[in-house]
Amino acid sequence: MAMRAETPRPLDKISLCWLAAGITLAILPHGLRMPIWILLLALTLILWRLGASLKGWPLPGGKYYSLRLLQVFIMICAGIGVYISFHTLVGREAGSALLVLLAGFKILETRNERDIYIATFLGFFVIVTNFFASETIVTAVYMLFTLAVMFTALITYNDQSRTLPAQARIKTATVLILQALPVMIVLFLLFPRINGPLWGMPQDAFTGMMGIDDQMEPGSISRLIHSNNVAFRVEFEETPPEKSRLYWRGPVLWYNDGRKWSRERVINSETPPLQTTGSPVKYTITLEPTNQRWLFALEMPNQPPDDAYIANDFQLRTTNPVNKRIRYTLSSYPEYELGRSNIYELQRALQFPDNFHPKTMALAKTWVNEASRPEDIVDRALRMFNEQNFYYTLTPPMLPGDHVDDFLFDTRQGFCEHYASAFVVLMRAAGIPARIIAGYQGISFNPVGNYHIVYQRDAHAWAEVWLDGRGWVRVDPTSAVAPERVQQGIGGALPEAIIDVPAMFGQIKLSRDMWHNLRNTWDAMNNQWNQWVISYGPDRQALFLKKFGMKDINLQLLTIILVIIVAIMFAAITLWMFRQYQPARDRARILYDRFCHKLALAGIQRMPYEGPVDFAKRISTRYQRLAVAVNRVTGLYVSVRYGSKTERLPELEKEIRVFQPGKILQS
Amino acid sequence: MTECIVLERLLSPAQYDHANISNLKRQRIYILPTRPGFLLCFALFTMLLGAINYNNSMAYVLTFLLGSVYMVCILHTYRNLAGLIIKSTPPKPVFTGETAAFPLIIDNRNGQMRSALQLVLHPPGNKNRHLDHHYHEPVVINLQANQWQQAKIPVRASKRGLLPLERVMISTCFPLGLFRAWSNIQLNEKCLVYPKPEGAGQFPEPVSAQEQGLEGTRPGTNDFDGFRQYHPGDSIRNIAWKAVAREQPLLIKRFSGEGSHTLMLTWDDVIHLQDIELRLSQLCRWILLAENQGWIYGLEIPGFKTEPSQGTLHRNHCLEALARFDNGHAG
Repeated sequence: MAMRAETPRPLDKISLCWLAAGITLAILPHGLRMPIWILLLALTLILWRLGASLKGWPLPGGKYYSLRLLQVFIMICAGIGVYISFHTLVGREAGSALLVLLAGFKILETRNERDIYIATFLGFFVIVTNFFASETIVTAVYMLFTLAVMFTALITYNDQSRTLPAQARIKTATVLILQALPVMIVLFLLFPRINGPLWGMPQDAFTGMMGIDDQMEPGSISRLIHSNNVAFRVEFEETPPEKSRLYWRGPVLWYNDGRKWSRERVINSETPPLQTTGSPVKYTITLEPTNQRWLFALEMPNQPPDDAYIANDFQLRTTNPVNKRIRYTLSSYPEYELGRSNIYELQRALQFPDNFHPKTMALAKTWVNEASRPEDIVDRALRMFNEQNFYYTLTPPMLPGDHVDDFLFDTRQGFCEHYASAFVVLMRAAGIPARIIAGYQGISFNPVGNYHIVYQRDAHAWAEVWLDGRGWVRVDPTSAVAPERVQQGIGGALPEAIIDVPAMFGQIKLSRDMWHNLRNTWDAMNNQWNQWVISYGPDRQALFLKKFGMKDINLQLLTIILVIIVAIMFAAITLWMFRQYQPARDRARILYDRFCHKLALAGIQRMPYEGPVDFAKRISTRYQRLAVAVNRVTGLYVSVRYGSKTERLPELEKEIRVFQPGKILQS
Repeated sequence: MTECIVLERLLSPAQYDHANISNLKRQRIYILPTRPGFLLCFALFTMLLGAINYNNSMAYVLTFLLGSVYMVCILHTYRNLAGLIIKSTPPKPVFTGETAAFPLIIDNRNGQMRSALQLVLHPPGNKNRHLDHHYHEPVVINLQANQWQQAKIPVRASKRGLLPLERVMISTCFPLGLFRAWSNIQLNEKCLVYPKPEGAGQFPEPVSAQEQGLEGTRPGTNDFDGFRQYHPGDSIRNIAWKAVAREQPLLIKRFSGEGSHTLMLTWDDVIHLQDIELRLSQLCRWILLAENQGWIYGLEIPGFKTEPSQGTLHRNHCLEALARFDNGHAG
């Protein structure tokens, strides 16, 4: 067994500084996500420890008993603070907060070897929990840097006599990481992946996701417009349909409580028949996690992907919330007819709350009296939006009262949710079944990655009305007010509302294009990262293995292959590390070493402390027979190597070649 | 010839061909995780479980990266020791009760530098080693590429005679302290331990040169008698420093023997002391005193006899005789 001969070494200032820097870097991104007092408290604790080491501030414990009490007091307060902030002490967010605070307290009491390692390992855990919240390229690079700092801290501590300069320590840390990287990649690709959680996940594991909701009220879609976040990415197999047909169907909203629209529980999940004409569009969507139970699809898909179904209102729904990025392939028919609906459904599509929207109801009544055909009433409503003073704006005035009446007869400024909601209320009042569809409209092309992006700002709401003989027909009231919204996307309708180019780049077209180009490249990189790193799971692994002809491989065999490859890689690293390090020797030195070797064979060893001249002197006195030859060689060597008389090198070479100390001694 | 130990090296190369080392002994290197190393193993396992449970790719990445660094660290720690050549040089004699320093030469004949090598006497096994006065802190050395260094291993000399160098453990935790590589070096090196100079006995009666009938041939201390050339071992106090200042070769001032003290230290002088070690200690003290006073002294003990003389060489000769004194002679 290893004898643990070392005594516990205290922590020196430089190691402490490196350790504190590593921990600070690790908790920083976490802390910015949490209530700010947590980060500030942790940083204060770290600063306290640094102050103690560098400026001699008192530390808790020892003779400062009152400070120990203060530390315990702060700990209790911090625990209570976390409970107040998160209403719990368990779960992902509260757990992360506690971990950040724990790291701070650990640094404060770090004194010896054990503490240093525990603090470092705590830092590793902080990094992991941070990955649960963010897995971007930037986070990954940042954390790699953080790891390098933490390793440097350990190296600094282990360089006991502080002889290595900082750059040598940083280099060692970098070498360690670089050598580990290829092994890590192999482990990442081949380590057998299994599906699903091993145990339950905390309830708050997936929160704070932004996107289309299955409830809609004024402002719920327009708040998404400023978001440059990606909702999903689409790869079309062929050319995509024209922009005005790109309606990405999301939740279907039936129920109106006077202000809010919401989805109703689906009574009948039997898929109604879809009559299609024309050819389908095939595409693959990579959906960002929404934590919701639906998918988005181009209107109208005919088959659901795996683990999903098509509800009776043609909403694509999943059984489990989408809490990680998923990929699915669909075929959609831009030309379709939804021709069947049962009587209950049509009744639900006529629902509206009592005692709301009196003016709207009255207007609808007059329309019903003037026109008999539902198509005419639909036309009438759209004409009203188009011909009267209706404005499409992102910043409509507040509607404190009855928001449909106020909008239609008073403010007349609204965003898509206002138009869709007012239109559906009008239709229902006129006896035409109608419903609201929430989703996205439009796409942006990324030429770098050759795929399309649907941003959160493409969020949209439109309507479907039931026309006898034609079934459910899509009507987009927004297009009556602002046709460019549908034809050119949100950027065409409200260019001033889209802030995707920083002001400094926005002035000149060239710089704007450059910015767009950069952003596209960055998004393409992120897409690859998402596809191959973040989404790498059992499915991707199977796909990857298939590329190498390993189909339907079982876990045991995969593990064996993994072990073999890792072993080979280690052999390679070992070979590289233990390759011959020949000291940089000049020709004269090589010759002289050969000379010494000959003497050593004859039993005369040069001591490590002996210079050539001393060595020659010793030989001359002890072995007088060798004196002449040895002195001649040494003289030559000294003049060549130290006197720069390189022209005498051949002479030296010859002398050493003929030099045979063994024979001379025996004769 | 001194022994050389080379610490075992992977892919054992023929790189010592030119290193003029003949009797090279190979020594195995052992490596095991340290306590933090075991702890990290456990931490990594926890992280892996977390990664699987949350199906989080970056958690996998971090776990695997740390795991790979952990494994690469084995090679780095091992390389820090591998291929070192260790040999000893004779230590300086010490007196009993002092600490002997065994100089070991740690030779790095390789383009890699070696950091934080710890050398400690093996085995310091007992738990309360910090209370044990035989325990010494490990010697820590760092070697540049192609550099050698001397590390002095302190060993407490508690007994007169020849003090052997016990096994020395050379170990390292560099770079991350997650692993500890170590090797045990057994070198056949001994340190001469003189008796402890003590005893309150009076000097035996000095014998003057005349009484012994050795007129003038012995160097005295009283009357200046001219110069002669310096020989190693001559007492420093007799060097003609003025001549040195004039950049002349080292000269020794000669004094005529008249009145100089010539002393013969014999076993009989200390026979009244019960313990043999006490007798040797007394003799040792007298020798040091006599040398210090510049007297001429000789030693005669069972099994050893030397003519009266003076100088460091003579002194060491006498002290060595005391150190090597075989208790069997005493009876």
